[in-house]
Amino acid sequence: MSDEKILSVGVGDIQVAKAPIIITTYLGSCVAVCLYAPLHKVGGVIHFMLPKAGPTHEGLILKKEKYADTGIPELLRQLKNVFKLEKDAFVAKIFGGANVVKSVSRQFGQENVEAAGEIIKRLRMNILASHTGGEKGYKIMFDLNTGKVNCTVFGGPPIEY
Amino acid sequence: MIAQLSVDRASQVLSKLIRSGARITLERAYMTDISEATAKINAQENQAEVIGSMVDMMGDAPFKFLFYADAPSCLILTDLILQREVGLTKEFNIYVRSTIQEIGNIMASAVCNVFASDFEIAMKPTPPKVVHDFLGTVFQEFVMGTAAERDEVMIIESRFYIVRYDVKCTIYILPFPGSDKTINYICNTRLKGE
Amino acid sequence: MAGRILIVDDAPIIRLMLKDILVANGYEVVGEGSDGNEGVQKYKELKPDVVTMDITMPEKDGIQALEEILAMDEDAKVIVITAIDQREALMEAIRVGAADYIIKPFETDRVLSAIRKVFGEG
Repeated sequence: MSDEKILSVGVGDIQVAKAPIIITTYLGSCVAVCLYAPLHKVGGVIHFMLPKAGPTHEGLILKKEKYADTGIPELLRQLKNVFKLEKDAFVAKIFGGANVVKSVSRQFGQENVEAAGEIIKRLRMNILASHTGGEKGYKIMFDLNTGKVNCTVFGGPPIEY
Repeated sequence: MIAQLSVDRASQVLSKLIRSGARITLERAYMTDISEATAKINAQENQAEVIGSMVDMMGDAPFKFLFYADAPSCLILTDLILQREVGLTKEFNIYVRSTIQEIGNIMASAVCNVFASDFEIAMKPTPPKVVHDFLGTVFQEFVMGTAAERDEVMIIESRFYIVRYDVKCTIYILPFPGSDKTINYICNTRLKGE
Repeated sequence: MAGRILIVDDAPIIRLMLKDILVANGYEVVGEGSDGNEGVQKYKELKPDVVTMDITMPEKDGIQALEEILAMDEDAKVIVITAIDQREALMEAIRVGAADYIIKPFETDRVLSAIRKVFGEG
């Protein structure tokens, strides 16, 4: 697979592209929402880390891609800007939200998964597939040629969604 | 300056711990956008399974510390730390995880020691958290707390190579938001002799 | 008679390393604890001659456990082991009543000299 075909998404980041690009990312407590327009073979991924936007302890406003509530609409906005397609053209798949580093404080993974589900539902979009939770990381490869997401949970086999 | 001293001290304790020379092959401190830094890590092909030890150092200039090595290196490090024949450890048991836990703990404490003894900045470690997962997953869990407070961060990155056994390990030091200002202030004050 | 030693450290590898050193030199490791709570509990049950106690541990740290053990038994001999080469933590341990201290990464000779000193051996 040549490097030109692979687009990597980092934390608090959005990538949109068209076939034959494969968008890839790794997840822990973060969640990736993959949106695909099957008739046009275009799509995008948001990799967000927190459910709800808000100022930091120092009162800073961070990039909207870091949060589910501002990031998912931003993903749709970028898809509309680049490909001139409305949300009805897209279907959604959701991955990640694991509890990798066990801690007694907030379960960010679970909160992120719930937030993603609520926002997609509120947007009246279809969630075609999802694989979330657990205690191990995720590797996902979103093939814009087929719309399929190859998802590997650490220690397990790859599964296609 | 602090980055260099910290990495040198970390290298010394690593060498002492495994009783073998650990050469520093990379050492840099830089500002980076967290999305870009994590995307670069995620872009690495055939990504290694790693075991990482994360330590939070709390005090006047808190920072996060990550030590990790790929799976085969972790097995070798376990044999080295136990002073056994290399190749004896073959599976990922509690001793392998614990080896990485302790190496991270001891190296983080050595870095703390630089702050304390050279710059009189009081610090204290929390118990290490060990994660055995994809490198991309380990790295993003490491930067998560800081990423929630800043879009751009300072990172100190260093790679070590244990020549004799072909073992590569990496450390990252990530100052908490605000720590970089504290460190700069203290360094400038001391350098001016006030 | 072999000295009876309780090892308390949250890192299994450190417990194994210490056990290897102690057993190879004729001491008996009567038990192991992985945090301060276990350390105090095992001290009560096993009444060892000496305890090696890590300082930084989850649940209850080594200084707290040291305090509780000394409150139970003022003659308890506890050697604190720490990766923190900082005066403050070590002074606190000595102030509370630790018999000696060892810094990680440790050499076999240093472990043995601390153990022998606490046992009053030459």
